[in-house]
Amino acid sequence: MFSTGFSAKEEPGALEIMMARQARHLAIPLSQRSATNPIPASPAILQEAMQHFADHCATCHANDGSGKTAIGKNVYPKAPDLRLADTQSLSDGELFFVIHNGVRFTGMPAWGKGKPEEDQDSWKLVHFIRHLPTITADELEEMKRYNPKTEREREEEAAFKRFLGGEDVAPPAPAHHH
Amino acid sequence: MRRLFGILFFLALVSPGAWAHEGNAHVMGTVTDIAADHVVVQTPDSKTVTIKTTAKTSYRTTKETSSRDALKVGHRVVAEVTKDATGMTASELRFSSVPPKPGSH
Repeated sequence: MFSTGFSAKEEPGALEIMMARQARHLAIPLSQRSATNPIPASPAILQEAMQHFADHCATCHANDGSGKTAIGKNVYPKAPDLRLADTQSLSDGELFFVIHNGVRFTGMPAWGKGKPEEDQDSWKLVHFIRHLPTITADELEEMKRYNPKTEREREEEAAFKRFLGGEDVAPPAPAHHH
Repeated sequence: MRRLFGILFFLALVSPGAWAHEGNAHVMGTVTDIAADHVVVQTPDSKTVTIKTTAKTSYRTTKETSSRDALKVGHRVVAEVTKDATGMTASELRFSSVPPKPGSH
């Protein structure tokens, strides 16, 4: 330990995972765990939540929910794959609570503002998280339009489109994709 | 509960470390060769770049999802790649068969 130092790149051990999940479970009040989603699912709600996720969540969680992003792979603990059972087996109320209140000692911030019963956006995101295991390639492509981009990344993307359209384009100065 | 969080915080501190650098980037150019596990691209500034492809590499035309079979030598590509110590690996290849516009080289 003293020769290697500490790194956020390591995977948590089994004991740590068990304890962290238990702590998260205990952090969610019983009434919240059993709360049901007050927003009815519909294509319009899913579309709205998809854009919201792409804009606010995908930087860490990736558009497909895999967590395979520069941040998601390197925080400690790593961003979970939201498509898998560890997340999908949580109740709607638990998912809402995590989005609204965040998770202590992780990279997950508390996104909710004001009273939980007024936080409709987080409930809509719960619908989208349920949709992640069956998300399509076309939906993922659409989400790229809503991902946060710097001015340089927008210029880079415009250059790529012109190049694919047959124009001669000088290689753009690379955006910083560390 | 407070003691439990204290234990968790301690455990987070004592995990041993490992260091590596990696990053994502884009490569654009014209396909000059296609093999089972890589494509070779000539960039607009005439550099030759080999990009590894895997089963996870996705393929798109400018408008829709496509397949590896549709990618041909001579196509223009924009590759989204991950760079590591072994080179570049494509996560996505966008391509177009549009010929250079008049006046282009």
